[in-house]
Amino acid sequence: MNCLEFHRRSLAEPRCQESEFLRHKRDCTHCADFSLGVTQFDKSLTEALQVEVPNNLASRIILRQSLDAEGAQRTRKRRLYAWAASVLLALGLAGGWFMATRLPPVDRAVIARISEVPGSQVAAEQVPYDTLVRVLRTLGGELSGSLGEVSYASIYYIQDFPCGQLVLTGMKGPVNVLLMPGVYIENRRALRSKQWNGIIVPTANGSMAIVGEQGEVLDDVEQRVRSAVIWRL
Amino acid sequence: MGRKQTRFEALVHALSADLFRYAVWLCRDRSQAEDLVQETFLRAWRSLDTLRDEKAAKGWLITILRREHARQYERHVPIRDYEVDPDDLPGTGDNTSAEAAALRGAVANLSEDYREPLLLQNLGGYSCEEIAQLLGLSSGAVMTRLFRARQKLRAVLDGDENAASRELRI
Ligand SMILES: [Zn+2]
Repeated sequence: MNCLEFHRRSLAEPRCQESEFLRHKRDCTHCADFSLGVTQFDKSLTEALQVEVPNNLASRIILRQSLDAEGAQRTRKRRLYAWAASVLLALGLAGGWFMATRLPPVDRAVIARISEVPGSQVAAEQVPYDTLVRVLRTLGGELSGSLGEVSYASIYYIQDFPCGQLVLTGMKGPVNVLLMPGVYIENRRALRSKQWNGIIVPTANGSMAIVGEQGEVLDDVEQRVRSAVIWRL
Repeated sequence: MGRKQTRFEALVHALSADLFRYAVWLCRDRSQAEDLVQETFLRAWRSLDTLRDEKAAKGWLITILRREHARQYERHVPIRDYEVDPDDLPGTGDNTSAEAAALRGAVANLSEDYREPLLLQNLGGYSCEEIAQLLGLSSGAVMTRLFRARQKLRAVLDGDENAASRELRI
């Protein structure tokens, strides 16, 4: 490798590790200096290329995808699932056995979701109003009041129908609210978990789970959601 | 949550920021870049089953993003390749020095042929062979473009378009 080739290579691949390249750099002071200059220049270049990434980028992508996945076919399917879910849940909960069926029991689904995306780990930034409206609309809800500070809002799926996850602010910290249209339960009940304090309550079009830290005042959050969201049946 | 959904969300969390950085420099516009990334992931979702190996995900997404960018670019055919004012470029991290601003301006004004390999190498951490594969070029062609891209950038910074080529005449 001669000096000209070295310069070309150095500009094409500043961190080249080929033996010929390294040997030339070791033996030729002029090229070693040149290479050092290029490496420093490249470091500045990398720094200059850094771009601030919008905070909610990932949740916005997931929201858009979930809205796309929602279609006319899904609406038809959803009715069927809602019916199947209510029957299976009634059976499963009353009988006290775990169902080996398409739909996991509500509790298991709620705990799984919250373990996966715990409220305390999501960005502590306010969700834009438009996003919130869109998330609720996907679930058949209209925002008609204030939910207080909402730091996370996204759509996820239990089997094939969309559910929503919101993270609101409670007395003790973040409170997860899972909105589950089509998942019907008979009565309100506590959600058993060592880490969390939670309830599952019926809503006009399904159910919702509210889960906070131990000692959280869940009734307040429930009232806040009930007065701020109107469900279409 | 279904397995496909879980897999998709994992990809979004792991790679959307990288893709966004790449898109910003490809589009030279933040909001256009976000649209492009959104569209890329939407397409990725629809053909997620074709992605066999998670390790190949980033390259796969970049390929989708480039294709989508080319499609959008075709749709709104620009009258001419415009000159980008460095002040219009996206706000960046900590580096607000004059040198960084000049570099950003110079990168934005590189032609796409030169800009892309440089971004893939510098932001994406890809080797020349990998870049060649992603762009459908020979690795020799990639080397030439990378060499010329840096030559141009250095010349712009030195305030002398001919500086780099002179320097090579040793
Ligand atoms: Zn030399």
